[in-house]
Amino acid sequence: MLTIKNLRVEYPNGKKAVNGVSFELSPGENIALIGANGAGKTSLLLALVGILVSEGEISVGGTVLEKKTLREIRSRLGLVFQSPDDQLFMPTIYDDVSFGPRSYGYSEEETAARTNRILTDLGIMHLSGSSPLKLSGGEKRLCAIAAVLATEPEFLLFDEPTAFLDPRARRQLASTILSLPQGKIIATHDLDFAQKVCSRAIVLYEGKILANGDIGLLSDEQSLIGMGL
Amino acid sequence: MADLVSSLKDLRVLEGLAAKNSVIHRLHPFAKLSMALSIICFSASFGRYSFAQLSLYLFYPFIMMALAELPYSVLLPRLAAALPFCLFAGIANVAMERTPAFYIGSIAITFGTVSLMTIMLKMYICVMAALIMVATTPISDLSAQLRRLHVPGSFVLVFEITYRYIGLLLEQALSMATAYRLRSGDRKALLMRDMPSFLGQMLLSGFDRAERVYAAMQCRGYAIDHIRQSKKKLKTADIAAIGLTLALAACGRFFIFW
Repeated sequence: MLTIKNLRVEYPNGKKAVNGVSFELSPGENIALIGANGAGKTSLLLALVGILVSEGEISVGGTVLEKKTLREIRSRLGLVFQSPDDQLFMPTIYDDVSFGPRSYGYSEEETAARTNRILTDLGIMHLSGSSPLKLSGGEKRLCAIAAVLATEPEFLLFDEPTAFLDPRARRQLASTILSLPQGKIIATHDLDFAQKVCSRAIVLYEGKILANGDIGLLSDEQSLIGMGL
Repeated sequence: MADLVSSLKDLRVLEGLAAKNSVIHRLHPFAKLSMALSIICFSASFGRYSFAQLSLYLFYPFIMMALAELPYSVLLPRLAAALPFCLFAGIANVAMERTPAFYIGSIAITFGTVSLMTIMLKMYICVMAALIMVATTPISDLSAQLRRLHVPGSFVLVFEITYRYIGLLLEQALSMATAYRLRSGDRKALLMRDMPSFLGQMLLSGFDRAERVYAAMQCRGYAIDHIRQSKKKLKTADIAAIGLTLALAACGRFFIFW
């Protein structure tokens, strides 16, 4: 279980990016995090992995995020960044996917086994020797997901996963996400995509939770307009 | 812009060479680092007129290139990048030191010329030693060995981030250059008046992006205190290679007199 209690993130200029957010994510559950630009979606995800300093409590399976557990928490929460270009920094896709296991000190054999398994599972083994610079947007996105999956996280956090994707790549991404067993938080503006892959929606507005309920709430256009979307 | 494209392509060539499997590639990274450092330190210790003695050190790049099966066509252009600096430093000596050191037939070779040749030779040996090490050792292994040698973590961090980030920065420069070209009547080069804002924007957006890349590395377990420690142990061949290099380098430095 991923538990977030009264989470607050404040920028150096005093602006509250996240203001008292609390919710839980169960294993296998998919939550859509919806909100206008600047609502605090990305800040929330970055706070969950300890990149942004936050107040409140974040715990994964009972382990509370603090300085000494940061490394463990990061191995249990996999964050897929909005832009795969920021995430794929190694010369080849194989090197990039194996970066996580290597950083966590797995043996070369274990690292190779995990990397090959993930690349095969996601159907991108043919890209293993390619440079990230030469891939399409959809391919980059899959490679970024593979890079995160290589550390076998318990929960996945996606920041705008459909950004820059064509309809075909979006469909492929939706089926990939649905095939992954981990619990997921998917921050997105893409309401159709959210309805396809998530069972619950949380709407953020100016850093606070405005609505938290069944994904069906995204079907009510009047409510969405009322929530600033 | 063509330069940016070719820089982007060239950037990963050395990393590609490091993935080969020659007798040198199979040596322990610590052995390769020690060999390169010993050659660099010994050759740097020579005096400014020790051209003949220093020329013995040419054995190192020659033998290593052959054993590692590295193409000169890849390393020599990179060596050429350091050439102007050394030439500039040495050319002043030619003008300043005009006393003849020896004669070849009736041509006087001055101390300044000997000094210039020594500087060039030092540059060749030192830069080639470093290039050979990088072209035969993956960067992650080099970082691990630097940490093992107690090089400060912040230095290794900067080294790793710079290496990983440089390709992304070039890619960004390329897309900015394309945008500039499209809105400047297909001008091929940047106008001097646009240079400050172009470079300023690149620096600012590059800084933001560097932070995001570092965040992505942290999210996947990267921490300077946890840089992977190689579990590979030194073998007899590694120790022999270090010993042989040190012995030959020391002989060339201390026991062979001309």
